[in-house]
Amino acid sequence: MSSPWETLLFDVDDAIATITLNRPDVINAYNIQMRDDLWDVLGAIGDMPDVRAVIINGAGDRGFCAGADLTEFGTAPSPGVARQVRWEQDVFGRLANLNAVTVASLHGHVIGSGLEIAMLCDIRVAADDCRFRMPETKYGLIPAATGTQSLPRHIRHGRALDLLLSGKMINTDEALKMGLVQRTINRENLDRYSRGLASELAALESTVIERVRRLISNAVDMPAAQARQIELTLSRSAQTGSQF
Amino acid sequence: MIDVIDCEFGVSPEEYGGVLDIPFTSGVGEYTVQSISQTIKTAAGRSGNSKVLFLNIVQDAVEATSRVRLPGIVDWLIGYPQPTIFSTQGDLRDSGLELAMACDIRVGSSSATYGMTNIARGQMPNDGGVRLLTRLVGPGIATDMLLTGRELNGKEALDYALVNYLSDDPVVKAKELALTIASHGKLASQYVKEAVNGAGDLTFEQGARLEADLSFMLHGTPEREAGLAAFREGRDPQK
Repeated sequence: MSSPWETLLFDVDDAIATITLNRPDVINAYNIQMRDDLWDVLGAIGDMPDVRAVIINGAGDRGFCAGADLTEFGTAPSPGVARQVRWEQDVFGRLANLNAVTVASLHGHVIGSGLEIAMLCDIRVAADDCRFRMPETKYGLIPAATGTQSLPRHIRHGRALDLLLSGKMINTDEALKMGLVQRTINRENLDRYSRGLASELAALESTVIERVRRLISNAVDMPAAQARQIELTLSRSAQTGSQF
Repeated sequence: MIDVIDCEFGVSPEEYGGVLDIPFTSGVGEYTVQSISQTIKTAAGRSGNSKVLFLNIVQDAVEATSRVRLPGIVDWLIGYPQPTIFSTQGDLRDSGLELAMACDIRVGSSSATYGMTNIARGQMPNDGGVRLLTRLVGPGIATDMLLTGRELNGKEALDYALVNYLSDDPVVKAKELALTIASHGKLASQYVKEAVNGAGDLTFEQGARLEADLSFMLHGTPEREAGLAAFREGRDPQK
């Protein structure tokens, strides 16, 4: 498959878009070019209302993503410039706020920002050969793709601190047990399974999906009474078919 | 809660490999709750180079710690900037469990039990136990434990994320973990802890901003430069 993007493959088939991180020689390490490519592709998906589900996976046998490409670290002219670029091209915010449902289809190494990208997806399907790890503090770094915020929300405070501070590696079974991933599958069936799941999700009523996803975020971030009131309002408007 | 002034345990801090180890042992000198709190804080204040604080309660002292509230220690631990690790071989109950929950990582024994049993005496946790327990295990299990005094066995405590690890020798396991974390970047560990703690109080977007800003503050720090240099040279940063 040829691609106009240097670091990604992008395919739209019916209502399902597939983004493949495509730097297999370096286990799809996330670099500046991949950031720019993802920014473009996610923006394009935002302009495709017919795309109802997105699969993100990684090319090659070795893994989904080995994390940030540290060979590029230290190239920003200053922390101020790095900060400006981070928010001018908020790839992670764009991924988290896609209207389409997102499925991370994971295999092999799922490290650092690779895991952070997966955590921003709605459903994480892990092959049985996955190895998850957040090694940043070992290198004097911290996660910068929202991992410190998504991990405690998905696996709770204590487990998040342990993963982030110790940098320990966990396997697919452990990840499933702690809620880091929701589904697991044999490696050979991963692509087909993720595709089937994306098809099921794409077939669902899009306004309901959109509202439920929003309510899930509210349930975590909002005071309970406020979140409940919004749920009631959205539920009633869905029943009457009105827009909210 | 019994109003105890004199304690049946004491603390004897020691430092090694970037770890400030504070064992709680029974029958060590003449201690009061105030003097124990002060000893811990003073040791941490003097220990400018320590990257990890490690509280471990020897089995003889476990029962006493469950009955004694050390003034100000839970709040102090929650606000302590560097990672904190807790371990004990024994059962953790009430004030002892609150002390453990105020730490970042807990190592326990599979044969131990874990609970907030205050309700059985018509009392409630008084040192942050309700919030700490709910944050760690979620509202469902926390409600069950707090309203019924249910005590978890080791496997349940692990499954519900009340403890991070079970070990036949929790002190050895916790020490190993403390030394690993102490080999990582000091500022990085501090900032990770700050960002994760922020996640409980901030919206996702606000937390993402905090994380990014903390990340940018690491630019140019010696530990980050050393870590990146090690990566470029293909070696372990700790070697």
